Amino acid sequence: MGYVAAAYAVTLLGIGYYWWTLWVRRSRLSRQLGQTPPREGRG
Amino acid sequence: MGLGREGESAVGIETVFQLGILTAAAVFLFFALKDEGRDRWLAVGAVAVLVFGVYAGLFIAGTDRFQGPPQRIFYVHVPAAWIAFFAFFLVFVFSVRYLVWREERDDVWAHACAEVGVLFATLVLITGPIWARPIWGVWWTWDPRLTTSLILWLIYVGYLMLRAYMTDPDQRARFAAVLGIAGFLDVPITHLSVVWWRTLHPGPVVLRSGGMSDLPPSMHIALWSCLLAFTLIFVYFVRKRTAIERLQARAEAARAGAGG
Repeated sequence: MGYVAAAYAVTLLGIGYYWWTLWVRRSRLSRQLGQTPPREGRG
Repeated sequence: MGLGREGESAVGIETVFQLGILTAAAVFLFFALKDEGRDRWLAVGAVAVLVFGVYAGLFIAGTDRFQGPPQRIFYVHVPAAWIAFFAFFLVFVFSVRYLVWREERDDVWAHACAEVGVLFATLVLITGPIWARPIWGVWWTWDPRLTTSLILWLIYVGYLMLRAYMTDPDQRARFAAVLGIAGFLDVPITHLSVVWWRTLHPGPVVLRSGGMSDLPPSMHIALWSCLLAFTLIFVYFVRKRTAIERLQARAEAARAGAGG
């Protein structure tokens, strides 16, 4: 069972980690531009 | 049905797994609800389907008679591989478009698809050996499918490195497009490696030629729900990644303007 737990944990952690990096990069750029994060989905 | 073999008590393990799923769902929902507009609902939908897919993979799908519980890794490993292939196909398409029309937008989309594709390819390369250890007795072997998958991953990591280290934007976009097209050649080789060569890696089990499947319905539920979840996550991540690229361009333009 440890193998199954490891595989699912790695998958969820990998997705979560990448999501977090996107969030950090977007927040940093928004701060640089002196604004709140813009609404997405326009292009 | 459940995680353990027949007759084996797995109540404790099931509780741990359920708590893990709930924790991941809570963290992901936190990020999703912080988003705005259409992306918020895309993210919430992706998290909901992912939670169901993981639950189905762990609890709804029956335990494989031959492999036992490690077969459940299939429900995250295979969809991740399909999404990685799809992402690299999109890199190929956007790269061709960029070389033909020289639209910066195509270069941005190719970059975003490559980055998210590498994420899923990385998950494939980690979950594969975790499955191989209990089934084959080794973490890794230089089997054609494994070797071509590793080469594929290295090609697209190289693609991202090329983009990171080149400074001239036009040259970077052109070189990346050429690599995005050439690198895609490894995708059909990887996919067909189990047919072309003798390999340890299992052959196609979802759809054989003639449209027949070896999987029972409960396994199909887990597989397709995970595939849907990964697809939604892929779309969401690519949208966020392209938005970051646009913000980056604005920040660079603002810096250039402030500098003179």
